[in-house]
Amino acid sequence: MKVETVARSCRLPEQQGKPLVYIDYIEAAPWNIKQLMEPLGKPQQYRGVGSRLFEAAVLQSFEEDFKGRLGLHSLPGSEGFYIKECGMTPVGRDPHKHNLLWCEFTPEQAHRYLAGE
Amino acid sequence: MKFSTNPKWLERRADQEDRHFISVGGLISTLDPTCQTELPSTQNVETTKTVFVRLLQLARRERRMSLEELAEKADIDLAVLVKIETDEAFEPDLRTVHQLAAVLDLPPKKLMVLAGLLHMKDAGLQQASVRFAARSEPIGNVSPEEHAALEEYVKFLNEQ
Repeated sequence: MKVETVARSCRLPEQQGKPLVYIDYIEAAPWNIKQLMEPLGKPQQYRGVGSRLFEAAVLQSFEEDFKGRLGLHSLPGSEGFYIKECGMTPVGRDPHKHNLLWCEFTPEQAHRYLAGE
Repeated sequence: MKFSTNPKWLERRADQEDRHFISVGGLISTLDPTCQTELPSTQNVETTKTVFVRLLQLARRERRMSLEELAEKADIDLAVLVKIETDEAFEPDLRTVHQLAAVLDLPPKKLMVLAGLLHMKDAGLQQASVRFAARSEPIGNVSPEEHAALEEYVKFLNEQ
């Protein structure tokens, strides 16, 4: 995982311009991804690796005093995870980043994520 | 930084992650199901496995690395590496191929295709692979012709 804490800021109207932790890069190793290993007839080695990394980014946002604000450009295949499972807000497509979907956490959403709601 | 130690939270998050791809950038974005990859058909696996082994051998020899050195740098078991180079029926796992690609500076996704772990609908790759296999020998020193064949093939893999 690679995060940035300086170059980007919030785009949601209610927190526009405020600092956030931007996830530039996050992934689990192929052998830890069920969807890749299952068709090969092999078990994944470890579960929940990506979620732990994502949790670390949220916790860093609190440590930086960004109150849990977080942003990322989701790949098309990952949008469901960040919106439905993590509870991020889809803000809109970014024409400057391959038209990927910009998703954002408000402090309330970050708290809910850590609380498991 | 205080991570959750609640096993129910962890289980739930792991379950959620198992249903999705979570990547933002990186290698896995190239393996995203929205990309044009699928499981390999048995028809092409034999050809690509020959090319996979030949490519690994030439790339290793080009760098004047012994099997032991490559195994150590790639952090894989020497016995597995020997098996890969001597037994085309042997099926390496994803981590091994990923590590080899990193050490030998080869495109990981293409190497997974050649190893028979993924299939890509790409007639160009098939033709280039057969041409490469025909122009290279698995043993001995790397000849100028083999060097040229290796360079041309790796360039083709990186360009796609």
